[in-house]
Amino acid sequence: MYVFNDDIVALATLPGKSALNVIRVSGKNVIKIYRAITLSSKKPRANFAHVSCIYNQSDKKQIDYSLLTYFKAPKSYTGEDVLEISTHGGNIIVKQVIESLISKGARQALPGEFTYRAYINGKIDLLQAEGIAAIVEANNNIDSYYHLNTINGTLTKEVQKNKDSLMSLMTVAEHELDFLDSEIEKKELQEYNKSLNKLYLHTKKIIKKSLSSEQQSGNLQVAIIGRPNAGKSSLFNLLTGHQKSIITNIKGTTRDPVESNIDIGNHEVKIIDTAGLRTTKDVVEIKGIEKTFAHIEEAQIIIIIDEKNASQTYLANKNKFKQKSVILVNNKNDINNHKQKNGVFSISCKKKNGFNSLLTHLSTLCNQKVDRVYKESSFSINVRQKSLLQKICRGINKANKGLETTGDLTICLSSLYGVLDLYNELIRPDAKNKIINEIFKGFCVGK
Amino acid sequence: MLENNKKKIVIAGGGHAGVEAALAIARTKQKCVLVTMDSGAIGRLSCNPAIGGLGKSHLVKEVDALGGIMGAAADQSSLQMKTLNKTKGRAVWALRAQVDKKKYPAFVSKIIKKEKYISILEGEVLSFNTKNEKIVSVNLKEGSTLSCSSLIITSGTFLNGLIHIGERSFSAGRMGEAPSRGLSESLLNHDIKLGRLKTGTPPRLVRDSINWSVAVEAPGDEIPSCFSLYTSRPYKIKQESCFLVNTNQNTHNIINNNIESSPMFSGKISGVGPRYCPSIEDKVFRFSERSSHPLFLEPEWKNSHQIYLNGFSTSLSEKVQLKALRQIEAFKSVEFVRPGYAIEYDYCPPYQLSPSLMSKKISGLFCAGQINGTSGYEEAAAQGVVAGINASLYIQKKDLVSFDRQNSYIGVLIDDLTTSPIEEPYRMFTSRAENRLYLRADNVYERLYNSALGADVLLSSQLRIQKKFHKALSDIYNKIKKTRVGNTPLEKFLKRPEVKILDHIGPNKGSLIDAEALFSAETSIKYSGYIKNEKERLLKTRRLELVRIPKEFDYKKIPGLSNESKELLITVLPETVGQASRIAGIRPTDIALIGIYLNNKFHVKP
Repeated sequence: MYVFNDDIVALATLPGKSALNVIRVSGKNVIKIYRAITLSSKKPRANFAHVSCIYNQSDKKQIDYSLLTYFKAPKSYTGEDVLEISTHGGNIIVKQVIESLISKGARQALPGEFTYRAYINGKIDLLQAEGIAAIVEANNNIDSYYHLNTINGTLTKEVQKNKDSLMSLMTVAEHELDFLDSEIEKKELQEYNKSLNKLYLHTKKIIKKSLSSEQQSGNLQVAIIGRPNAGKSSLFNLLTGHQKSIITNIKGTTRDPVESNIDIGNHEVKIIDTAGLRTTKDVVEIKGIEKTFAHIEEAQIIIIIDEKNASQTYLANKNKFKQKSVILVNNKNDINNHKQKNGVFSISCKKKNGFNSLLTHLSTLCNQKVDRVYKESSFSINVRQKSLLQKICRGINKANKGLETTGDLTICLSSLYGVLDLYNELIRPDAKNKIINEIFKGFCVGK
Repeated sequence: MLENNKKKIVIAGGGHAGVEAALAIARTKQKCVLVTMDSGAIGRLSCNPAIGGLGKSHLVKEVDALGGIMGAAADQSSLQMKTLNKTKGRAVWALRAQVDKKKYPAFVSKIIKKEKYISILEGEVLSFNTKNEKIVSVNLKEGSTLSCSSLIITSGTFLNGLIHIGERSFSAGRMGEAPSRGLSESLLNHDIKLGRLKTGTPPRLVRDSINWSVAVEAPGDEIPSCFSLYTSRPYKIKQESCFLVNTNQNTHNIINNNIESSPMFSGKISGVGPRYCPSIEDKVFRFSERSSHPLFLEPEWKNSHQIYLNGFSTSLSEKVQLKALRQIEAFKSVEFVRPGYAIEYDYCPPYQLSPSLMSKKISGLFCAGQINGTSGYEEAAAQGVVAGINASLYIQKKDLVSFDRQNSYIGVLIDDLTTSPIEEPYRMFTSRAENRLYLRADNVYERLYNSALGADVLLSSQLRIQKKFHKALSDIYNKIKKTRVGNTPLEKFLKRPEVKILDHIGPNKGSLIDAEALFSAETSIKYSGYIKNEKERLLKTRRLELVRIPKEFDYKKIPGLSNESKELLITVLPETVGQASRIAGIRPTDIALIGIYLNNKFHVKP
């Protein structure tokens, strides 16, 4: 658990060789620390970058010539006084600067501690904090755009808007219970049903507009499936460019799915090699086949590969491919006589015949898949946020049903108070709540 | 004689809080002196001639479950019984009694005067004396000093009372009764803060000056119910009707044109008035889009010549009141027995009290009723019972008790009072409770049984009746367990909204309490799923409730806590983390900080 009364320090940039490093200090004694390390009697100007020498505290020798920016509380990242020191690169300078800061009473920050202070001081809500965690982890600039929208509060605003309309509906309902019908204007029960339904749809829409973590580009999945020995592993190796899957002539060699991340088109895509589909009594192999079906479930794109009749495999398992993009590929055209027709690719993994046209198609498909999701989304959400939003949907629905069947406003309200708790958990949970610590623990030091 | 026979508890004021406090003390076999300016005014209904109503009837029932008198007195003096909110959920059904303002105090007085542990003293408590921050005696107006170890102040609107009618104002407690100034000073001298509040009362009309033929009749329930479990069944009364008229645009115009003659608008009244029971000038001003407001004509007693005009509370001048009312057809030639007026009075912000209603500063000093910033007879009575129980425990040197807000409206009331600043006179609403589906009138004798037994406040006759009710309930639950409808257990079947218990289990013949127990069982079963959810939801706050904050806890030392939060916490000094979390202005993050500090310094794990 974090404490609050001291000053914390951490390197905000990655350790290692670089042109610059940024060290961050936050706390109540930042001005005192500034004066000590610069050997200056002046107060730093707020929101101003100062060029100054930094001195070793024991022998008063120069460590570095740095840029120091002072942010005055509460207008800073953490809501406390903050000092950001840009030093020259390299580990030695950073080590010495941090040592002098520590000798002046600062303490090495724990992971996520700066952001936690920002949260505690009301600078950000939890959705924003999670957006910050995500942007730090983001692997590409497209995802980070959506995280940024979460950080700047676009998601919070949408959620808050919904929470506000729920609250005003509840206020009207409470009012109706607290006063006589002759004293106030009454709302018909159907109007409550209507408002609740609208709220339900709005919340659904937020989920739909969100880029959930499994949709983000690193999470696009392509599963290669087919009968045993159809050449799944060969295609996998060809796509990923290295021999990761063992290839033999023995059917059922791949029992555990093998996966690898590659860049196709503009996106990072996970390719999965699966166990062959056939009826077998081998317990291990059956488990592998079960896993294959689970992968089909999770993947957005399915490549069905066969020696000559990929459509047959497709038709045999048709109901598994609903809402999936399927690519049919016939392999081994070097020994089997088939040509590309009706959208079924004809390739040879061994000779690399027809591989380029398959790759082009796959990359177009990946781009389309991701771009569509991105076009429909306005911000990113993570698993926690999504599951809470889904719970909210269910809660509203339940309250609405309860009102319909019993006509009892007190029952409906009782359920809605539960929904309100979920909203609070989403935006600003009770701070002693465990999840908060979990969330901030996931940060890197210096954030 | 009083001086020889040293009495332990003094109660200043004989209103609803004072009366219930005195009775609770007497039931625990401790002695008290009820000091009142006018022994004829004990239990008087100074404003509206009604007991109960939305939110408030729950309090009346809870007072009844704790052996109080309000419910029984209302039953005995009722002119009309009506169950309100009947089209809404059972948890918000509310009984309202129109009562006879003469019979009610007479009934209360008779019982108080019969109690050997209560002595009545006509006079006024001017001030109190302390030693080592403990109450040791009170000084009476006539000059004598009465030693005591506990004082309960139930002064109502009498502290520094100031009546306003139009631009005229004068000191008074209630119309025609003297105000009391002394106690305010004594409280201030002991470093207890005071504030100002105001409340209004409508005019009383001359019955014969009203044209009744154009008013709409509002009768009571066909089969009247009663409040008290101890009132004998079948409950039969001869009911009188109330009548309804509506204001019109002309009325509103006159009020609007003279609004500056109302002290509330000219800023003469510094106290804050109630938002929930607003004056007519407030209503006209704030809801200008409404062309009409309902007014209820309520008899003040049986065949009374004066009629209470509910809905027309005002501090406009008498002339304007009359002129505005005469625009209404039924009131064309209306005359007043007494005009409406507003009264401004001192109150003692109740965050200075602990949940036992004892002062945090002065041991043995309790406050109950309007002095704590509440409005209404029912709220006063509820506090009276709690102050009485605790004053009795205090003089017996026993641990004081408090009431859990998840178990009773009394708990909600006192917790709200002691944690949130009063911005206007506090009135009970069911929306103030977090678990409304559980805090019902029909299960009140289950909810408060243990508290009543623990405090030992029930008369043996009351205890007998409560036990009978519990026996009836448990018999019903046993029957339910044994009954199946087709293949479905009855308990499960009853959860369907349309299913009624009476179609499956009939009441024992001749036992009228059975019918009420059946209703209670049916409601408990129908709501059980929802109540379970409510409980789970509140479990989190429940945990915080159990974490006590040590007396030596220093908020100033908590790092990261904002200065505003520190100040709030230091003023209120909450006893548990749960209480702290409900202080208006305290944020969840403040609670987290308190939790961390508690953990670090006191090794208390929230």
